[in-house]
Order: sequence, then structure tokens, then C-alpha cells
Amino acid sequence: MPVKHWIEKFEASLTSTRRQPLASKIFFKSIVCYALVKVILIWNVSNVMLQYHNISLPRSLVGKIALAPAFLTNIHPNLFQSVVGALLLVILIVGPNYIANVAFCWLALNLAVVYHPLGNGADLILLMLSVWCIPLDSKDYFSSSKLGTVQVASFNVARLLLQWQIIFVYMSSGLDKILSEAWRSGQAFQFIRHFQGLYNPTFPSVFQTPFWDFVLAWVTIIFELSFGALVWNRFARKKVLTIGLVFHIVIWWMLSLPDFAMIMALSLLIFLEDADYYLLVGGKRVGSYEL
Amino acid sequence: MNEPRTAFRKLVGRITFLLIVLHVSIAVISLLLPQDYAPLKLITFYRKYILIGPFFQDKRIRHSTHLFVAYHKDGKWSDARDYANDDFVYYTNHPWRYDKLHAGDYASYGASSLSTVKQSNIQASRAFRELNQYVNEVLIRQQVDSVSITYLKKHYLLEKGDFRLDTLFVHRYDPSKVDAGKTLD
Repeated sequence: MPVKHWIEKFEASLTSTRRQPLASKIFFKSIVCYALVKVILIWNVSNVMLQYHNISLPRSLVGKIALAPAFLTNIHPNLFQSVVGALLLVILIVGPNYIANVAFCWLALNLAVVYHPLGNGADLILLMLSVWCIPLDSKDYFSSSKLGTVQVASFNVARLLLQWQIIFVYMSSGLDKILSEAWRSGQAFQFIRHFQGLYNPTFPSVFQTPFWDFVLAWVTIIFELSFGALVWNRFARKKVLTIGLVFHIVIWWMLSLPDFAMIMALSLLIFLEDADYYLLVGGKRVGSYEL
Repeated sequence: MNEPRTAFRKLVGRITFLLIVLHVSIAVISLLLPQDYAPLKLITFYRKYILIGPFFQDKRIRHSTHLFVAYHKDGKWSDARDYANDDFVYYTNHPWRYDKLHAGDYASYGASSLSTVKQSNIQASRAFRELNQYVNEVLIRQQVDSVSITYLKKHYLLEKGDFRLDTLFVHRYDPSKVDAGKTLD
């Protein structure tokens, strides 16, 4: 009976009202801002690359429309980046609505294709987040209560799918690591330390011992596997998100992956609630109060 | 929201709940099935786009790949240089230069693409023409007689505390005889 009651309550919450519209809007704007900053920071490098790298045209009409901005690179690299940069800026200013969300997803797809040679997992994560962001529109467009209900439900489902997307990224990596002897023993960090072009030699040498290898490996495994369970717990949520933020800052520094670390850190914002931001504006630090 | 829940709202709530349950179930099944077993295309799709990663896999952190470029000019060969690593070292000392972190990526991507091309067809391949143009105009930036590109894997051997090098390919050629990889309109 409690399960049935919980399901009914959950179903009702999906259609009653939009959940956390402010937090969702801030999340959306933050990932648009991330994409814009990346386009600007990588402009010179991608400009050079695009003078040599051909983007192949798909044969289908749908493919041609989907990748239309990417083909601007075959005319002039700066044209693509200027158009994408300008559109991202407009989307950032306008904020989430159906048109802006679809446009953002379209641009994220094109960025993933164009930046593929320069890419890591960050572009694919951005693309998937942008897909789930499409229904994140807080305005009511329909006078019909039925269509309004569908709109509310799609907003809430999108928010849940965004959250699950992040949880799955952690679960997938966590499960892979716990099945790996190199990770369980901590030796993975020895391999990483000797991975030229990844490990940052400025990372403090005090952490370069078998003890710290073991500790860091298990912190990583436990965090990735437990994130999906703890983040739904109202007492653990903010602590887990804070640990997640620290986790990604360490990845940024140690593994020289600023874009990957940044998109993962920003993706944690989807687990914040409107009340967290109101508290922040009220002068208290997020994570410093008990619910 | 004080209006009574209509049958329609209940239906929408039920459908969305079931969709979420279905999505999560497929993702969990895709995660738990052995990685080399995908009975449905849906599982492959979920593994690629929903279960993005896994990151820092055991098999991927054991070796790094490197492209070394050397050129022949005035009767002698230059030292082979790993330009991507030079850019990476620059980034580690200047962490605000995010562009440097990705500066070597394109050459590495080109070399990686070439490692799947047959050696007998290598100079005709688009990947090679693009890489050659990039290497000459961006990395070497001078007229040379010949270019040598070496792509290798560097494995860290934990037991020995040393590296083992595997050469994936070596190619020496006259860059003037290679067509352009890309011509902008």
C-alpha cells in the first residue's frame, strides 16, 4: 500500500505544477553559457583545425538541415563560430522557451560534430543535456487545460530525465571501475600519472603515493556508485552535490580536463531546488542549512 | 492548484510515470548486461547516448598515443617532435590557455584516423591529405624535402616502472606530392 500511495503521489506531482522552474532556468542558462564560453575559448584552435578538416554532408534532407550550421565551416571557419556564438548569446539572453531550447539542441549537435576531432565526452554530455532541455519552458501557451497538463508533465519529465542522465553517467563509470582490478587496487592512478597529455604535473606530489592512489580510487568509486542513491535524499543531497563539485574541480586540475569537469559540475545544478537559490540570495551559503 | 484532478491528468500522470520507469529500466538493463552483449539496437543506443562513458576505463588509461613529426631539410633530419605534448606542457604551466590544451588534438585525431587506413592507400586517403596539410602549414611551417610521421602507443608497465613503445605506423613522404586535404571556397 505505501508503494501504491507513493506512486499516486508521484504521478500527481508530475502533472500538478512545474517543479523547480527557477532552478531549471538557471541550469539551462548555465549550460548555454558553458557552450558559449567554450566556443570563445576554443575559437582560435578550432579555426585553425577547420581550415584543414572537412565536414561531410549527409545525403538526407533531414541530415542537411540538422547539420546546416556545421557546413558553414566549409565556407569559412569563422562564419560557423560567429553564427553559433551569436545564436548562443541570444539564447542565453532570452532564456528557456521551446524555440530557444530546440535551437540550443540544434547548435549543441553541430558543436559536437564540428568539435569531434578536439572533443572528449563533454560535447556528448552537452548534446544529451540539450536534448532533455527541449521541454523546459515555464510559460503556459495553451488555454486548454488538457494541453496545459501535457505541457506541465513534459516539463517535469524533462527535469527528471536530465537528473537521470547525470546519474547514469556516474553509474556507468562507477560500475566499470568497481569491476576493474586496477581501480580497486588504486593502481589506476599510477597509470593516470604516467599518461602523458592527461596528468597535470602541477598536481601536488603529496597525493602521489600508493596510499593516496587507493584512497582516491575508492572515493571515486563510492562517489560514482552512491550518487544516484544519495542525491534523492533530502538530508544528503547538498552534501553529495558539494562533494561532486570538489570531485570535478580535482578532475579539472589533476586530469587537465577543464571542459569535461565544467559541464559535469554545471550538470549538478539540475539537482538544486528553487529554495536553494532563494536562500543563496538571502545571504546564506548553499549547503549550510538543514531542511 | 486547487482544481480537482481530472481523469485526464491522472492518465497523463500514469503515462509519464510509466515512461520514466521504462527509460530507467532500459538504462539499468543496458548497464548490467555484459558490455559485448547487445541483443537489441536499443541497448546499443542507450549505451552510447544515455550511459555516456564509462570514463577513465582501465584499458584506456594504460597507454597514451603520440604523433611524432620530423622533417628533412638541407640534407639532414630534424629531431622528431611531439607537438601535442609541447602544447600540453605549455597549458600545464599556463592553465588559462585552454586553447593550448586542444591545440594538439587535431593532429592526434588525424593520426588516429590514419591508423585504420591501409598503408598502401595512405597517401590517397582524405585523412592523410588533411593531416599532411595541417602538419606542413601549422606545425612545420617551412619548405622541407621530406616529412616523417610516427604514431605510437606508450604503455606504462607497472611492474617495471617503465614504458613500452608500440609503433602503430611510420610514414615518410615528399609533402609536395600530396594533394591538399581541404580547399575553402
